[in-house]
Formats: sequence, C-alpha cells, structure tokens
Amino acid sequence: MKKDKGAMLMDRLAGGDERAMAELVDRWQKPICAYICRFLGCHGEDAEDLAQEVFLRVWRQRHRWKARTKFSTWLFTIVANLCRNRQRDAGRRPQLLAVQSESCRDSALAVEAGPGRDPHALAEAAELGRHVRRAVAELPPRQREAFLLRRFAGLSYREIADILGVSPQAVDSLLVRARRFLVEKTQDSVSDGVQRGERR
Amino acid sequence: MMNCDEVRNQLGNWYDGEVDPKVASRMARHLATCRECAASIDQWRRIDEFVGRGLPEPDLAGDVLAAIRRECSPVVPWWVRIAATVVVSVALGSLAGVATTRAAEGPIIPSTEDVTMGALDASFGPDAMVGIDHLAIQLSQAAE
Repeated sequence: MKKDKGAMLMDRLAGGDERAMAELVDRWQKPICAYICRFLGCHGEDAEDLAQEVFLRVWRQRHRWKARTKFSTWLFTIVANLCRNRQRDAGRRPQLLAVQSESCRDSALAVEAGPGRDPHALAEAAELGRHVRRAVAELPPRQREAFLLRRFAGLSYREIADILGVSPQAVDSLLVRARRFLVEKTQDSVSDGVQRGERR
Repeated sequence: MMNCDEVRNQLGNWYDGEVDPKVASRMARHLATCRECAASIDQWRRIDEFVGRGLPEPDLAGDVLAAIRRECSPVVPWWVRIAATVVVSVALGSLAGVATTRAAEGPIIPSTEDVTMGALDASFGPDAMVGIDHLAIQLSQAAE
C-alpha cells in the first residue's frame, strides 16, 4: 500500500530530519489553526499557541507513530483532544470567546475583500460572517467537531468516525443536524446572500 | 431520474463526496434542474465559505523548531554549572597532584629478595622446574 505524504514525513521525522517537521508545519498549520479558532472561538496567539502544542506532541510521539491510520486522522485526533481539554479547562462556552474578538475578525474580512469593494457589500458580508461564526459556536460540541473536521481537515466520514469514536452513519447524522442548525440560525442572512449573488 | 425525496436523503453524502459515483452522477443531474434542492447546496456552500473567512495566516515553523530545540537541550541553572566546574577542577587538581608525587618516587620495582622468596615458594610446589625458570627470569629482570 502506498504511503500517504504525511506518513512519509513521519518516517523522516523519526529519523531526526528537522526539515520534515518544517514541511509538516507548513502543510498543516492553516487547517489546524482554523479548526482551533472555530471550535474554541479563540483567535490569533491563543490559537497559534495551541497549534504549536499539537506539533510538539507530533514530535514527541514520532517514534511511537505507526502507519496504521492515515496521518491526517492521527493528527486531527491530537487536535480534537487538545481542543476538548482546553475547552473543559477554560469552562467557557465558545460563543463568549468569539464575541470578544469580533472586531479583529471583521478587520481581517475587510482586508481579505480588498480595496475598491462596495462598502455596503462589505458590511453585509461582515454581518453574515458574524452570524455564521456565532451559529458554529452554538453547535453542540459533537456536531461542531464533525462539522469542523469535515470543513477544515477534509476527512471522510470513516475518518471522522475514528476520531469521534462513533460509526460513519452517526457522523452522517451529526453533519445533517449541524447543517440544519446552521441554516436555521443564519436563514435570512445566508438566503439573502445567495439571492444577491444570483442577481449580480 | 431521482426525485426530490430520494435526493434530499443523500444530499449531505453527495455534498461530502460520500456517494457512489453512479448515484452522484444521477443526483447531479437532478440538482441541475431542481432549484429547491440546489438551494440547499448553495446555502451549505455559503456557510462553508463564511466559516473559512477571517482566519489567521499562521507562520509557525520557526517557533515550532525553536521549541523542539529547547526540549532537546534543557537549560541548566547557572549555579549548577558553577558547582560542576568547581567539582571537576578539584578532581583534576587531585589527579595532577597524585601523578606528580608518583613521578618523583620513581617506578615500583620488586626487590631481589621479594623475587627470590616468591620463586622459592613456587619451586617447592609441584612444578619445581617451572619455579626455577621463573626465578631465573625475575632475577635477571631485577638486575636490569
């Protein structure tokens, strides 16, 4: 069976190849930070600190890792566990953390949109973004995990099932419920946005 | 041709690429003609798009490698380093002193009497001839 790229990098890492670690970080830092941000509702330095801890655990376990599962599944098991632990330790619901740093995210959205963009459209996009992020933060934890693993890690139902310790059918159910919840919570904003996109 | 109920039952699976390719193809044909089913997909795409916006652009490689190097080379407190230096210096000094004293005393050579007595003990044992040879060799070495 052909090894996936992550497995090959882990082999090199076990051999002490520092460049393999740098390659792992470059490949996975963005989806890991994205998952952490949306799961915990934290941002910036907090998310990066936790992401760094993920990579340190990869390093510490490099000799114990066996290619029985896909590397991304193993990696996001570490990410999901750390996030659960952090949330439990913090004892706060993520939507409170999300609200605290809304302004910096809106600024990031404005920068992302680029200059010359219609300010009315920018404001609408920012508003929709807030609705969506709040809705994700309000998802029950299991649904949030399934949704974010699918969205950012791109894992299959089977892989998500392995991480969550449930069946693939249960993952399907979690995702159906998560999407229904998100649509209901953002119904007006998302639908209007879709219709405006069609009219343009 | 699939109907809306059949499509809605598997819409999530289709969206996530979890359906058989033949079924996926039939569903795609339905979605191309059914605005209502297609609207659900559009809503999910929009949500996915906005979930992915405004996220950080991390650059962690340097920090991660620095943290790994720190783990591999633990920091030793300054007072431990000084104490270790003192202990090693004293030990080296002691060794140097012993070496100097021994050099002044000269090499240790057994006396003729010691050699003779040792060989005589050996001679009156079962291997008398071996003992005499042994005595001769040792006496000649002592004379040198």
